[in-house]
Amino acid sequence: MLGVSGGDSMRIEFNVTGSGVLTETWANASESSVGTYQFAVIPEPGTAMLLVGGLLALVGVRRKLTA
Amino acid sequence: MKIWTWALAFMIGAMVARADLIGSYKTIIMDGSLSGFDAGDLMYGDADISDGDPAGSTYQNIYLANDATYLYIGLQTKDSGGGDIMNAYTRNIYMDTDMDSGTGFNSGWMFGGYDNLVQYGAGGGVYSSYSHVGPDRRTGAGISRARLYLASAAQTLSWPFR
Repeated sequence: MLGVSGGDSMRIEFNVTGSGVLTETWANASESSVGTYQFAVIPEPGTAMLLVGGLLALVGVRRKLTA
Repeated sequence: MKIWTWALAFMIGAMVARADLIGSYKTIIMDGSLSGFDAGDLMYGDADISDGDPAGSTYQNIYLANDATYLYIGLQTKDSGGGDIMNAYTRNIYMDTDMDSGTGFNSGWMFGGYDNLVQYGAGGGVYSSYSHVGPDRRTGAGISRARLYLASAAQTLSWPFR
């Protein structure tokens, strides 16, 4: 567990070492330039989705009233 | 615009922390390929990565994405067979999750304050993750294991982050 949530940021660095490695790989190449990743948040429903949902609810109410 | 206005704009801009990659919310199918990632998920490209030797130990591209539970890491390696976990390379992923260089792992020559380390490879003999907390930045305790799905030229990892 990393203890972070959507919207949080972290810096992340990759490195390869070990037997058989003559020159190490680094990403980012410079530690001072290590990149920051911001965790995506759960997408909220779009405006169009909310509009469609509202219209469907209205249609349902109208059908009940006319029944 | 007056000088003080420019200065104020610069100060505000400098105060706003900017991510190099704002993650995409997606669930990656763990099938050993990178097909779930796209160009918008690129964290490090070839120009950002210092090439290692042999070429198979080097990354070509590194992708990141996450959903509500997992952080997904796509590692595209150079040469053939670079991603095979049975090769001798040890792959290390350092994460500074509190964005504080004063806490976390510090070997004396790495100063990023990395709070978590995922380490695997070495012919399949190393498969660990560590959490480094507090002021003692040279010790850590194993916390959990990542799920690894490997292919010959690419690796995809998922990591629980909550």
